[in-house]
Amino acid sequence: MNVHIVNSCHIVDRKFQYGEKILIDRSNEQESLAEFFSAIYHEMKLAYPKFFKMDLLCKAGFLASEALTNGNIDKTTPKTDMGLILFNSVSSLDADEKYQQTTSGEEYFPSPALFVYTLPNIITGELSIRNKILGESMFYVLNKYDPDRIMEIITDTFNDSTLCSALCGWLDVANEEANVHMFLVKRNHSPQ
Amino acid sequence: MIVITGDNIISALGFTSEENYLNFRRGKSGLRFHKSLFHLEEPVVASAVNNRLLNFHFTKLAEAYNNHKNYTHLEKMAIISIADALKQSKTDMKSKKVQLFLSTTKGNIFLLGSKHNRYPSSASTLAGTAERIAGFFGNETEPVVISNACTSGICALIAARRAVMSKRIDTAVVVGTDMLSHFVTSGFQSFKALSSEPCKPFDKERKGLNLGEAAATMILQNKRENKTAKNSVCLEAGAISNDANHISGPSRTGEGLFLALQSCLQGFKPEQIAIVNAHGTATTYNDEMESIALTRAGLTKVPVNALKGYLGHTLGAAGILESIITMRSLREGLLLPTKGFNVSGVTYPIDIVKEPRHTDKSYALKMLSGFGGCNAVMLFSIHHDTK
Repeated sequence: MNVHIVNSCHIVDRKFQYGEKILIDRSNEQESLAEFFSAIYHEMKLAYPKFFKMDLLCKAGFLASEALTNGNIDKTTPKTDMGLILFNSVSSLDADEKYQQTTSGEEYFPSPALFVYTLPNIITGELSIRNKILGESMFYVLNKYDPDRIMEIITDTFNDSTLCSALCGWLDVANEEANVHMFLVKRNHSPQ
Repeated sequence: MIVITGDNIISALGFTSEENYLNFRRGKSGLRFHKSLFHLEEPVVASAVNNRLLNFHFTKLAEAYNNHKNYTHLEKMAIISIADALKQSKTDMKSKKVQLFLSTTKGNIFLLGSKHNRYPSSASTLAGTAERIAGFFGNETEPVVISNACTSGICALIAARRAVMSKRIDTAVVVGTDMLSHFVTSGFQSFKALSSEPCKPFDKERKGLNLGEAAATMILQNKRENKTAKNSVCLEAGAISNDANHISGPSRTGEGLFLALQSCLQGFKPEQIAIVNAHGTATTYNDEMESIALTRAGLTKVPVNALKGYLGHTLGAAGILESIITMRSLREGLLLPTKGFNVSGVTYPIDIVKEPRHTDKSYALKMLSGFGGCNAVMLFSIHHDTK
């Protein structure tokens, strides 16, 4: 393998986990997924108002990527050697449903602000803007979470690009559930 | 090297690459005026695949493959497209070393929330749709879906090229497809991005884009140079870059597209490039951004064309479809005109092809840009006899 995983962040069963350590556990709270994400945002003391206009998929990816990048990468310098390689199985299902509600009810009022999120790769744009990542950004849809296949595609990407690092991971958000496994990878130094 | 051993286009202009190409060369357009498409209030100009013809072709294919399940309009387009490309490349789809790459933005989105059960629930997800398409041919390798907005087609070719280079598979079947739907049409209307007339890429009176539906396929294989047939199309290099600027608007500096162009051109000179086939959606900001990126990349002297005036923006199919047409024209030494273009309406002086031109060069660049700030570029070449 030409890359190694630097750190990982997981959002499963209403728990927010950095590496092995559970940072936030709200599995006993009766709250919506949106409320859960807002709770993480405040707990992490983040200050990025754009977060509140994001759809749930982007919110999930944003929170996990903040845990991975804060203190680890320079967010202010444009980086052409950093990329985003993301995966899921449900595409933008949650945003699709919310957008469709604006076009199918009695009051037809399609919302451009919702429509834009009906593409799964919008999150690569959100995270690129936040972290000034100008390298390759890709969104793949696979039928199920399969870490081996994901690592294969990441390895292929590093074999065929000049990337030095990438934010990677699985981001399924639908039906009030999140299943997120994100990680930061870096290219191995090739032995001279 | 990675070469294309079969290709196909299913669109309003035909059911093979050749038929489509000849119609492009004749200057035909598949765009039609629709007074109330999907009962939408605003009229729409769009290109649609003839349903009767589609079913005629599909019925024949279903007999040949002895497969009588229900497939959606989008799946039928993709299946017919793949079947024709497979014939040319003599690929056995049942091999485990063959993998499907599906480029789509919204797949069978019309099934969202629908109550009728003509199709199994798998048809309503992108991965499920890809499996159904691969399954038609008895292919059991897990497919990969690439959903990167309007750049999906080139992104899928880049991902497929890598998979073939890794030797995990020996053939990648790359199909790009999207269908006209109420969902997508209403969304683009809400963005005020649609033109109520046939689109005019790069023109000073351009008013927006037209949507179109299509499927386009390329079959990718790794061939030794001396085993490559003359006039084969090769995938030389691909690059993807993000603007890191805005999720729905093009960058004012063309940053991501410039970086992707620069990366693809490494080791090449602008003089070698016959044509840049631009994204050219005919929206104000996209075309302007492309002219900035081309200028920054030193490509102001290279002819540029855009093909959206023939079939509109076919979303997930666009990158593959427009690359097939561009490479067919290059094989004939021809540069196709930018249908709908009359007088330049971009600030930077790029050389937009208005009338057909001759070329004897063999490299072409295909550019795409889309929502999410993503940009993708592929450098293709025509393989000449090396002897």
